[in-house]
Amino acid sequence: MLRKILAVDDSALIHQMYKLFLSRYKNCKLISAMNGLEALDKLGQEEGIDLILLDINMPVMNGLEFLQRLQKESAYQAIPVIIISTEGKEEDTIRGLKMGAKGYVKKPFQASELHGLIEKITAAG
Amino acid sequence: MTDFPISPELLNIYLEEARAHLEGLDHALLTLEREGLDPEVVAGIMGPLHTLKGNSGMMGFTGIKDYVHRLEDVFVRVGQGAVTLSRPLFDRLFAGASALRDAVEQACRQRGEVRSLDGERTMLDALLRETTPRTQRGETSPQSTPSGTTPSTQSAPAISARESLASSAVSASAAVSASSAVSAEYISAHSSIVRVDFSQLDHLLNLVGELIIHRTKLHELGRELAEQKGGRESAELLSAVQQVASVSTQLQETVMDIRMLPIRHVFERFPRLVRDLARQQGKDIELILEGEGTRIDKAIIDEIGEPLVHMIRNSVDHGIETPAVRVARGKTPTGTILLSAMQESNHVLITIMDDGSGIDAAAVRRKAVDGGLLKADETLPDRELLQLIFSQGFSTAETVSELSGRGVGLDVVLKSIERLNGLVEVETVPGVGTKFIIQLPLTLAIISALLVEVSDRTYAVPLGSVVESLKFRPADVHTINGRETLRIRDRIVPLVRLEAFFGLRAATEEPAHYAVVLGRGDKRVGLVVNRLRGQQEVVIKALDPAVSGIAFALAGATIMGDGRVVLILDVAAFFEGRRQALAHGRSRPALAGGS
Repeated sequence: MLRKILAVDDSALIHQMYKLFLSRYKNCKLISAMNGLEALDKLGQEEGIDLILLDINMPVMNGLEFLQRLQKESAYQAIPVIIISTEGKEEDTIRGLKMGAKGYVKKPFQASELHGLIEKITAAG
Repeated sequence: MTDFPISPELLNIYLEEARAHLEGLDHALLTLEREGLDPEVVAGIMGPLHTLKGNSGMMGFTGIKDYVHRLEDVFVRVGQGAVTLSRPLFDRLFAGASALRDAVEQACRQRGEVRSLDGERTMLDALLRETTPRTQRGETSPQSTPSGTTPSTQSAPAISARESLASSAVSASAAVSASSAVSAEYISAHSSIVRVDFSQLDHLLNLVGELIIHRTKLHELGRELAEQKGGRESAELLSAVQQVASVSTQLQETVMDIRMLPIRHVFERFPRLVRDLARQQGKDIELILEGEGTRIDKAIIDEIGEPLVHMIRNSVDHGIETPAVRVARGKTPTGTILLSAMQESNHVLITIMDDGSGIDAAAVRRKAVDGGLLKADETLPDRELLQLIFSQGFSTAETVSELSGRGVGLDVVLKSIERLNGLVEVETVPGVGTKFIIQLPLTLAIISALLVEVSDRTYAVPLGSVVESLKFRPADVHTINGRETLRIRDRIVPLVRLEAFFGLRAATEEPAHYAVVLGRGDKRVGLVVNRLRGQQEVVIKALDPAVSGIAFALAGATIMGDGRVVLILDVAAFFEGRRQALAHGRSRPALAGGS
């Protein structure tokens, strides 16, 4: 069961959408970070994060840089990452998947798509 | 499309972010146009555009998303140096940016796309066809796969088929991280910030206002008690009340601080405005912004935009000359407009200064006489004469000719600024330039006031306008040109007897012999009152416009600790004697109290 999801995106709109989306998961806490650096901070503060939803294109520290740092930390390597990409950056998505991300969803995505992918990844995990 | 229900809240967040991204787009275009190709500027706009594209897609605004996608492609080509940066190109891109803004605003208002961007998108497609990309990048092709035809979700194993794309992918992240500089400024502001509806802050401020009213009452009671009874308890009570006073003052300051926003929110639209107006009129103008970080109450931010647009427009239209004229006058072909803001005690000063043609006082005079604002034989110092450009009725269609076109609509500007308890002054040197100075309060909600008694009533005078208050003897009053005046040091100060001004019954016990001297720029007016009651913070409550404003010399009302309602004077009214009287056909009581 999902208890804590870390969402990393530079847009307040996407965070609000995650908030609406995750209300379907009972007792699941949503932790928000506006860029990779903030996400690393949140990982340090919050224990037991089950899943990371990761945007690639962000200021300060982008998603790929974040993934690179994540893979170096043994404590975080096992946390599944879903890349939330935007049309036109397919090559970044591929790099992210090579770096260990478990799957991706392309904006604009359906709530049901994201839900399906989360089910699949957490079941496999 | 997404299956997220699009709520008004989501629309609001989308719009707020889109506006910041579009502001970034304007900013990038202006910089590129002014300074030529700068890869950092190009890289800096990619992030905001990419986010705007993603967000528009999530909102179901496909037309906007597709247009922004093309725009990204164009910027990629610009960054590669594959596009010649020419004036016509910028005209097309600026027009596109305006259309995009329009489409975003309308989509948010109508909760769906209404404004088609097909024409603009075709224009970008043509632009992309005219240029050839320097390196083949699959993802930036204008004919890229339309969204929706390929499944948009994948788990990791399925991706291998597309790995061929990966070899060209290495360079992309450099561009993405370089975008941090600009977009971080716009976007990281969201981090650790809580969204609160402004009306809640208004409510909070009202509560603080009530608290201050009761605090004042408590304080008065405590003091009376201490004076009458003395003793340990009343001393302790007084000390406790003083602590409450200190905490509530901090509370008030904090709430006021939360309401403050940098004036950048108003200024940021002007570079684009000036650029467009200058292009239309064949002028060359550099706009310099200063003090954009100066903070002011959001309620004022919301209101000051329109008057400033008006004044900047005026400077472009009637201030700055065409390059040919400027050169003939021995000036640089490029004109300059300086827009600056700074805080000065509890005011914010906004200055709009241009190095244009200035205002011809003689032309203003002719216009004022023609318009019946001034008698043909009446003389006025130039400074007062210039203020006439703010008069209602000064501006008429035919003034568009020559220099006097400055007057167009400035009366509207003055009214807006005075509604904000502000004032505006103008200084000009013909042939050299014009400077408008707008003085605004930091907040509209709470002010320090001097309480005065007139007849049996109490009025509050905004302390910011009080220069001094003094006691005088009847023999000190001299009548000059039918107007009572008081000599204060080396200055002759005209007097206004508030009793007569408001048509009150004369006070029986004691004659009025205090003068509260008001200052506005270098002008002074003395208000004659019966008694001074001391200073106090007052919470301004708006009055119905039908009975407030400059014509009534009332800015609002406040509630005292004992529940009494006290009227707050509109200081501007006492300086508007000539102009107001002329504009309103002397409908107000004469300001000179001697009559």
